[in-house]
Parts: sequence; structure tokens; C-alpha cells
Amino acid sequence: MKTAAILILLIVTMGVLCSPVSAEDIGPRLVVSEYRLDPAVLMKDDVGVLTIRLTNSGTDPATLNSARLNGVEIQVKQNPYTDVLPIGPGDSLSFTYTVRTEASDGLYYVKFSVDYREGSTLRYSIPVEVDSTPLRILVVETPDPLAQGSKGTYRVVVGNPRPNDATAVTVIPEGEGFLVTPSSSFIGTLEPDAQFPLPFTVVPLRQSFIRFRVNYKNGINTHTATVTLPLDPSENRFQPDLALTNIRVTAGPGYLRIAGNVTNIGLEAARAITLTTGGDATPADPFRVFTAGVIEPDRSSPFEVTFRSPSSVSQVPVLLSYKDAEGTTYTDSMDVEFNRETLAEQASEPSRFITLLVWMLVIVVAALIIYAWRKG
Amino acid sequence: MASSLLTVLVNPNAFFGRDPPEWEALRIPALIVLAAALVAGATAFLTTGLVARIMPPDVQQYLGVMLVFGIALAMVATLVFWALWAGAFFVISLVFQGKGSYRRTLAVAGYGYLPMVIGSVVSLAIFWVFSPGIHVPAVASVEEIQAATTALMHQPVMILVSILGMIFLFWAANIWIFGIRYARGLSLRNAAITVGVPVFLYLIFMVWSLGVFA
Repeated sequence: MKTAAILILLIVTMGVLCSPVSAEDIGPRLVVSEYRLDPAVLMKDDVGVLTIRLTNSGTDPATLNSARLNGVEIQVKQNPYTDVLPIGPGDSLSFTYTVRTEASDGLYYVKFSVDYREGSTLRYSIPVEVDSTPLRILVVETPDPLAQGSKGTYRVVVGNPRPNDATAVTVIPEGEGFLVTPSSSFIGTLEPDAQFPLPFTVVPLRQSFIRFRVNYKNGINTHTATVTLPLDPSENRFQPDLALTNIRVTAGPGYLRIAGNVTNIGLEAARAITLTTGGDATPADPFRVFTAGVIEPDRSSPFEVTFRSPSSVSQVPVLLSYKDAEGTTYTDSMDVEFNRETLAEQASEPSRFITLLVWMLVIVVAALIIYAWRKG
Repeated sequence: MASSLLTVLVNPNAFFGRDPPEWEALRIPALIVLAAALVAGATAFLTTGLVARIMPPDVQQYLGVMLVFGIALAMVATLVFWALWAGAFFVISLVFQGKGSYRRTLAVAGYGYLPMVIGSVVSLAIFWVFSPGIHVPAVASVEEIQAATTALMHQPVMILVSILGMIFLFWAANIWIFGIRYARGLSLRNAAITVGVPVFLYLIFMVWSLGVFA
């Protein structure tokens, strides 16, 4: 029994020692040591760059005849490497391919094949993920009420539901009939599952639409996503509103004067109020512009503006400009009519003082004449 | 001299009745008329500027010429009117067998300009203050100039200036009456008629120019 056991052990040992050495153990050994796709996840119609690193982990050099990349759903845009390339033991070579896909979302494979002289063929499957989910742009807060000519803040959130980074992320508000600040916002890189809030201050001027567009890049591919909101501003029920009352037009030497009261018939205080004349009228001294600091609701202030205008003009607009507490500027105008002939007579109408002076002159001259005749 | 001029204004009978008659010298009357001519020139400057605003734009480019012409005309007219007043008094007084030279009458007429100088200065001041506010209608054609000028003359300030002119003309007439009395050796009544006739005619002309009879 003991002899049989020794015999079996001897046979096994001999078998091990006498078996032939394989070619891979002593020749070149090629392996795909690394690959990288940029962007990491493609979207439909995206172009990506796939970089494959091939390493000779064997003990002998290898000579490559060709290196090819093939795919079905993932199209390879670049020709295969067909040059004869040597790769020494422990050395690496990088192969770069441009790929493109029109495939729908899913996981696809491209096959990397290397023919080398010392062996046969290396085949390696590389997974490529396609996910066309765009960035999300959400309006999370709108001004209420949205008043015409009044500032309101829209809060926008940009989120990245994609599995990879989005770069060069920019949000641009688009549309007409409103003023907006900032005119665009730059976010930069948005990591997966990250979000970025942005405020936009909008002053609606009329009924319109506002579209927030987010532009971003997936690798070298530009993408966009939008969200559109109707802009339907209502009349600001609380805004200051100025009215001109008790208008009087009089003539002065060389100018015409519009005087009256400016009354705040709105529900908020009017600030930084200015009044002047426009149209064919040229503001003239002494009151080219009337200014007032604050007029509270239901309060009024006397005003006076002076101007010159051609003789043919019998109506001039009075231009009002004022602000609310938030600094929003409001403008308005009111036409004032007048009769040039009547005003001209007023302008050259001697005052009571002058008339009195003339009568005194008459009396003095009469007295002098009577005195002279008495003496004569 | 100042007291003499004040005497002319207040008591012309005493001034012209002096013996010897120092008033016969033409130097002071000539200076008074020259002063009147200067004030008339200044008034013409303002009036021409006002009238020029009526004119069509192509005429307004000659404003400088118009101003020089207007001022010169006003000054020359004042001097000519001096001679005309004296001539009228001289001729009319011939009816009453007036004696005395035309030179004496000319001196009297010159002294009569003294209140008119004062009146012209007052008118000029009023005109200066009120003329910028006078409405001047735009004129597109020559036909409209007459209407515009008439409208201008109806401005209250223009009427006031005319009324002032009449008041001071009465004052001047008072001086002329006493002056002509001594210059031409007339009775006070005849001197009043001699002066009154041309003055009355001139007053009618002034009222007519205001458009009262229109």
C-alpha cells in the first residue's frame, strides 16, 4: 500500500515536470488595461471620444497588425489603425476612436479587436451607455401678483437627472415685452443629481411669454432645454398713480407757464417725481422741470413748469415720471390745451401797478398843465 | 440848467417870459431833441425786432439791415418832426400875424420835446418788460403782414405805449403854447389855437393808427 502511494506521487510529479511550456506564458500578453469614453454617457446623436489603452503584460514584444473598433448601435466614425505597431513587454499603446450614436436609451457594446503577429486576435467588448435624459429646468416661484411695469421675481431651478456631468450650463431668459435681470446666468458644471437655483427679476411691459432656456454640453455636444410661461401681467392695483388737476396756463415774459396740482390717486406713495413739457414745447427757465420727493396717496402738491413753443402750437404734453417704493419707474403724459391769442394778450397785459402808474401820470400832467395855465 | 429845464416842465410861462430870452439859443433844444432821437432809436430797435418775428423766414435773414434801417429812420424822423412841428406852428401863427423868427419857433418846439423824452423812456421801459411776451402770429405771405401788424398794434402793451405818448404830447403842447406865445408874440388864446390844431390832428392820427376807426 505504502509502495503504491509513493508510485502514484512519483508519476504525478513526473507528469508535472515533463509537461510542455505554453506560448502565452513565455510570449507577449496583450490586455485592455483601461478605456475611457468622453462623455461617459452619450445622448442620442451625440459624438463621443473613446480612448482604449492596450498593455503588453507579457515577457516578449508583440507586433500589432491592426486594431479595430466595431459597433452596431454605436457607430465608429474613424478608420481602424492598420499600421504595424510594435509594443514591447510592459509597454502600453492608446487608441482613440470617435463614436456616434442614434440609438435610444440603453446599454450597448462596441468590440475592440487587435490582430498581432505573435498570437492570434484579442477581442474585447466595451460597454457604451446611451441616456438621452436632458437637464431639467423648473420654475419654482413666480411673482404674485404679476403687475405690469412692476418688478417680480421668478425662481428657476436647473437640475441634472443625467448619470454624468453637464458642463457649460447657462440659463437665458427669452421673449419680448418684458425687462429682465440678469440677462443670463452661468452655472458651469452641474454634477449628476445636483440642482442649482437661480432668481430672475422681470418687469413685464405687456402680455407676452417668457421662456427660460438652459444650454449645456455633454462632452462636446451642445444641448438645450426650455420651459415657457405665459406672461400675463395685471394692472398693479397698488401702484402710485399721478393725476394733474386744477390746470392753469398763463403767460409770462417770453414763456408760457402751466401750473396746477399733481395728486397721487394711487394706493402707494409716488417718489422721485418729475414733470416737464414735451412735444413741440421747449422747457424754459425758470421752471424747466418740476421735481418733488414723495407724494403720499390722496395727497397733492402744487406744480409749475415753464416752456416756449412755436406760435402754431396750442397743445403741449406734460410728461410725468415717478417711482414706487421698489424703484420701478412709471411714466405718463397729459395734454394741456391753451389759446395762444388769449395768453399773448395776458402776457402783454399791463399789470394793475402799471395801469395805476399811467393814471397817476395823467393826473400829474393834468395838474402841471393847470398849474402852468394859472401861472400864465 | 436843471432848474431851467424843470421850469420849462412846470411853469413854461415863466421860462419863456424871461428877459432876456435865453431860450432862443438852439443848443439846449437841439440836445433835447437828440436825446429824444436816441430814445426813439432804442424803441425802434425793440419794435423792429418784434416786427421781424412776423416776417417770413427768408425776410428774417435781413434782420440786421432791418434793425439799422429802423433805428436810423426813427432818429431821422424825430429830427424831421422837430422841424415839421416848428414849421406848422410858424405857418399857423401867420394867420394871427405872428412875429418872430422860425429859429425862435424851432427853439420852442425843441423844448417841447422834453416831456416827450421822459414819456419815451417810460414807454421804452414798459415795452422792454412786456415785448418778450407779445404773441406774434406766423406770417406766410405778404398779404398777411398787414393783418399781423394790425394785430400787433392791438396788443395791450402797444395801446398803453400809445396812450402814454398822448399824455406826454399834451404836456408838450402845454409847453409849446406858452413858448409860441412869446416866440411869435401871440395872445394865449391864439397860441393855443396855433399849437392845438396840429396837435389835435396828430392825436387823431395816433388814435387812427390804433385802429379805433377801423
